[in-house]
Amino acid sequence: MQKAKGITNKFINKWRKYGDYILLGLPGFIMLFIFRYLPMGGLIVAFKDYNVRLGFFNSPWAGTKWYNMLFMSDDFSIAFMNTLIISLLKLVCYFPVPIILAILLNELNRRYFARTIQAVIYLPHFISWAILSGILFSLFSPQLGILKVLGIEKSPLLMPGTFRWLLVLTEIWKASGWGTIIYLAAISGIDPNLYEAAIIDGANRFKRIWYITLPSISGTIVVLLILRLGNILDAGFGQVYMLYNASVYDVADIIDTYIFRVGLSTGRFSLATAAGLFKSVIGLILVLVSNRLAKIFNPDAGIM
Amino acid sequence: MNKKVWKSLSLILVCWMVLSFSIGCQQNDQAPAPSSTDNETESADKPKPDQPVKTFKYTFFINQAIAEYPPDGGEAKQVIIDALKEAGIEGFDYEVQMVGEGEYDTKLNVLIASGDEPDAFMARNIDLRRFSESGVITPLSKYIEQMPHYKEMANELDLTNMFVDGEVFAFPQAKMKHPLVGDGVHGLIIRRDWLENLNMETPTTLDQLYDVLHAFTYKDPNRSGEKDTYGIGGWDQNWFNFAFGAYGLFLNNGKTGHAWVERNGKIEHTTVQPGVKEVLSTLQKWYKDGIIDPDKFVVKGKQAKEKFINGNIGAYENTVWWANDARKAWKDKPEQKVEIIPPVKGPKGLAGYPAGAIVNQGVAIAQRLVDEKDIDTLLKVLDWSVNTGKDGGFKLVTYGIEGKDYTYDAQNDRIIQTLPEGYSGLYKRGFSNPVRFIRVNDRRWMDSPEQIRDIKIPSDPNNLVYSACYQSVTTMADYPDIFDKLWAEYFVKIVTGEYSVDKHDEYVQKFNSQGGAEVTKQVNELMK
Repeated sequence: MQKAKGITNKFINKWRKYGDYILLGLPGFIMLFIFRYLPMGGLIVAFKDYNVRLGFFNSPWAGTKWYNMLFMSDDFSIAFMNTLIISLLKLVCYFPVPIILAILLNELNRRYFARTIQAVIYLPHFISWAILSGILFSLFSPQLGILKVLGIEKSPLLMPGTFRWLLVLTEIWKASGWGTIIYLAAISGIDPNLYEAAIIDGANRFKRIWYITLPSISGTIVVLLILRLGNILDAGFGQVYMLYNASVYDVADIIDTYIFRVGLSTGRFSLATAAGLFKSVIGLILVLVSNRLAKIFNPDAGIM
Repeated sequence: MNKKVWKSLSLILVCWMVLSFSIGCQQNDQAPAPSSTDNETESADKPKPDQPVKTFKYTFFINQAIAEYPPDGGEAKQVIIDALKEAGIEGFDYEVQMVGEGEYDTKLNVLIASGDEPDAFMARNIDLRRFSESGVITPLSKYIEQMPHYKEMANELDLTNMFVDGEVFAFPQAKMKHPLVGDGVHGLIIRRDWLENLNMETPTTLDQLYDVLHAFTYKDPNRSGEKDTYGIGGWDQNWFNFAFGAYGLFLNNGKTGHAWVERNGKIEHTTVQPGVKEVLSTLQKWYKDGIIDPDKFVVKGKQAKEKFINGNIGAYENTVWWANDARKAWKDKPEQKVEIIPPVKGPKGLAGYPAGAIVNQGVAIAQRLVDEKDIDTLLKVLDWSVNTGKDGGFKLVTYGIEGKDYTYDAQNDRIIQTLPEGYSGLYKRGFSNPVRFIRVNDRRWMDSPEQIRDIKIPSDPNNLVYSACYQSVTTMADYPDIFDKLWAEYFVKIVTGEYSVDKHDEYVQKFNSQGGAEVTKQVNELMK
C-alpha cells in the first residue's frame, strides 16, 4: 500500500515537473502515430494478393510473389540503378551548395542586401515542378528557347547523356536557396566572441570560415547528411515525372516513377507496396550505417 | 512565458486535438441522416406502393475536369430531377465528381482501394477485367434488356469492346444513326493558308505530304521572313498514326494495348509487324531532314496544341475538336485557316486513321451500388438520359433547356444552339458533359461548314483502319510496361536517330520476351 502510494506520488511529482512539456508534445505525437505509424499496418498488402473487396486482412496471402516479380523485372533493376545514380549525383553536387550559400550569405555585411538575396534564392522553392517543367520545356526548346540562339537543334531533355545532369542542376536551382535556412540558423548560433577573438589574432575571412564557422556547424551538416542518406532512394518523383520522356526512360526511370506506372496507375497496390517497403528498408539500413560511421569518426555526431 | 500560460496553452492544444479527433471519428461512424437526398446505406428493398419512394444519391465519376461545373449540380440538378419525376422516375439524386484525364486513373484506383468507389464511373476497357475480377464492378449484360433506348443505340462492336469473358462490364457511349457519326474522330490537321501561300495542293500520298511538310519548314509558309516553323508537331504520346495507317497498320495514340492486326488468320500486335520498320524508316528520315518539331517528343498535349495555335507548326494529328479550337483561337485572324485532310496513302495505296478512338471506355457500375442502393432506378435514369424522344432526357442533359439554350429544327433534324457564353455557360448551370450519364454521340448541333467537312473524314469507314481486337485479356494488366513504356522508348529513339531502324528487331524480341507473346496468345484465344 505504502509502495503504491510512493509510486503515485512519484508519478504526480514527475507530472508536475514535466506535465506541461508532455501535454505540449502530445498533439505532435498523436499526429505522428496516426499518420506515420498507424498506416504501417498496410504493409501487410506487400505480402498479399490484395483485393479491394476483400480488404487488407481477408485478401489471400501471396508470400514473396511481388518481390519475385520486382526482382525478376529488368525495368525494376534499371529503375533501382537509376535511382541510386541520380540520388548520388544530387548528393555529391547538391549537398554542399546550401552550405556554401549559407556561409556566403552570412559573410555579407549589408543586411538589407543579404535579405534581398535570401528572398530571391528562396523563390524557386515555392514553384511546383509542374510549372517549372513548363518553363524548362520552353527554355530548352530548340525552336523557342535559348538553344535556338546557340544553334542547338535537339532538346537536352531528349538526350540521355545530359538528362541526369539537368535533373541535378534544376534541383540545385530549385532547392539550394531553401536549403540554406537550417545552416543559417546553425551559423547564427555561433558565439560571436569566437569571431572577435579570431580577428584579434589576425585570422582573415577565409580562416574564420574554415576554423570557426565550418567546425561549428559540422554537427548540423552530419545530421542532414545522415537524413539525406536515409532518403537516397527518393530521387525526386515530381521532378523526374514532370521532366522525363520516352527517350530518356533508360537513364531516368526511378523507383518512384516505376511504382507509379506499374503499381498505382494500374491499380496493383500490392506491387506498389512491396516496392515501397523495399525502398524504406534500404533507407533504414543506410541511416543506421551512416549514423554508425558518423559516431566512429566523432562520438558527438549523429542522431542517436 | 510563465508556467501558467504554458499550462493553458498545452491544455487548449490537447483539447483541440482530442475534439477534432473525436469529431472526425464520429463523422465516419455516423449513420446517414434521414434526409430525402442523403445516401441510404440500408438494403435497397423495393418500396411497396403505399410507401414513399426512397431517394438515393448516386455518385458519378468522370475523367474530364470542367472547372465551371458547380459542385452542388447548379440550376440543372432540380430541372433534371423534376424532368425525371415527370417521366415517372423517382428516388434519384446525383453528385458528379470530376478529375482530369492525367490524374483520373490514379485517383480512381485510390478511391477503389480505400473502399470509396463511386457508384458509376468511366472505366477503360483495358481495366475492366481487373475491376471485375476484384469484384468492384457488376456485370451489365442482363441490365441492357431493361434499357430499351440504350439497347437500340448501342453499337454492337462498342459493346463487344466492353466484354470480359463474354459479359459486358461497362456501358459504352451510344451512337445516333447519322451521317456525321462514325467510328473515328482523329485526323491530320493541316494549315490550309500555308498550303495556299506556298501554292501547294492538299497532299494525298506520304511522299506528297513529305514535300508539303518540307516546304512548311524551309519555304517560309507564314511569310515572316524567318525560319521559325516546322512541318509537323505533336505530343510525346502521339505516334503519327496516319503514317502507320498508310501501311495498313492500326495504331492509336497513348498506350498500345489495343493495337492488333490480323495476319494470315492470326492476330498479332501492330508494333511487331515487319511493316513497322518501313514506317519508322520514313519518320526517321523526316526527323533527320528537320521537318518534325524536335519538341514533339518532349511536350504534352496542351503544349503541342499551343504550338500549333501559335503558328510554330504546320500540321499535327488530333481530333476534329482540336481543329475547331484552333479556329476559335484565330477568330480575329480570318486569314489563318485549318482543316483535316483525308488520310494520305502509302506505297501500296493503303490509308487510314485509327477507328474506335473513343469507344475504349464506358460507364462501369460499382457492385456496392447493387448491394446498397437501387440499381433499377439508376438504369431507368441512364436509359432516360439516352432517350432522344420527347419523353426522354437526352436533349435536356446534353443541350440544356429547349427555347433557352437551344431550339430543335424538326424539319431538318438539327439542333440550333444559342450559347452566348459557349459551353462554359451550360457547364456553369450544371448541364452538358458532366450530366451526360451515358454519352450519346450526336453531331446534329454542328453548324460550321468547316467542322462538318472535318468530321465527315473520320466518320467515313473508308478512311479508317480498325484494330483486330479492342478487348482486354488478363495478361495485359500483368505486363503494362510493354504497352506503355517499351514502345514509346523504341519509337522515340528510332525516329530521333539515336537507334537505327534495325533496333526494331530488338524491340520485337523484348516485346515477346517481356510478356507480349503471352498476351498475343490470349488475344488469339479470345478472338477465336
